[in-house]
Amino acid sequence: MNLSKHHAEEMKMDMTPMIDVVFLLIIFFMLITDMTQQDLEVLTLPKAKMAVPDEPDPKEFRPVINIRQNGEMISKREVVFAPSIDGTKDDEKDLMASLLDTSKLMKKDHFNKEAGTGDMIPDDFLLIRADRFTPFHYIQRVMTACGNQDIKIWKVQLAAGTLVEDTATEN
Amino acid sequence: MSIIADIANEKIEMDMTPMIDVTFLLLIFFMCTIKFKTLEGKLAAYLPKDVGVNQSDAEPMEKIDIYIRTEKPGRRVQAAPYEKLGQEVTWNEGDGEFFIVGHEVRYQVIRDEFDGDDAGLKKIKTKLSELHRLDPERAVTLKPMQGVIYNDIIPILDTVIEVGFSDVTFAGSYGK
Repeated sequence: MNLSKHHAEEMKMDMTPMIDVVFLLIIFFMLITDMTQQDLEVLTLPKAKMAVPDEPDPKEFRPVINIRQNGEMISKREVVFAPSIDGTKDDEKDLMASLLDTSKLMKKDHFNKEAGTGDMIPDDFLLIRADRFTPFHYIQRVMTACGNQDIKIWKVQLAAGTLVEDTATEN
Repeated sequence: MSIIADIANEKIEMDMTPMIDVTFLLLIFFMCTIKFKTLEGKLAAYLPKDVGVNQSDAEPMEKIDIYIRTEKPGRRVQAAPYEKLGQEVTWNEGDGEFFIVGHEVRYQVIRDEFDGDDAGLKKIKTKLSELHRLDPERAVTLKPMQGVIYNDIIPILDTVIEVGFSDVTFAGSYGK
């Protein structure tokens, strides 16, 4: 009698831990694969009506430089420039090296694009993200460094918050 | 009979553990991802291309120069009390994030001067629209002067792009 009872009992597999693990793996991969957003530091950006929404292609190379209120510049999560207190002994070595690497990885095109003549120069945009209260001379410093003979980056994008809700109400 | 009675009396208990697990996981997921979902945009601009040996063959075109000058530099106050309570506490080196209060800027489009507020920007838009109607291909150069902050540049760049100018360049050197 006892034996027959055991035979009637069904073996049930508890799926809960498996679902838990699957969810954890999904979250893990979603967070680590979203590398395009990892380059963006937490900054308060000024708002702009004409700002084109930033939707980068994860497969494409997208150079970003973040500039904090105090002038600290961050690229790929590394500080590439930290201003000295009095501003006289600023070391731009890391900034130049970072921009040089960025420039090398950018797509190239002729200086005179239409004519197809001149040296090959970078043809990608460098996204400059700065806090709304960042003194502009720090951004100008990046721009000046971009004009260096070995770097020659001439296309830039300035990051701004979009005004989607405001424009919607205006219309 | 007794078996049927047993089944009828059996309490059905719902196991809440998986639901709590899933809720916690969703909570963690949203906490991790929510900060990336802020809407962010970008405005395109250009730097002087002919720096150095490469000289452009193109004929020099008359540009629209826009100067951005600081009228009042404003004062730095600690971000936390100002943002939450509107209370101004003087910012010192090492205090972390700051707000700039009382900062005022003026724009100069060719020879005409404008205030940096919304009314001034509307007037600039009208002026630039006239210039755009005359020559849509004309280049615009933004020339920020000393004391200007990032927040002063974006509204004017936004206006220039809104009017329809596409060739927007930043001046090569930093004006005093």
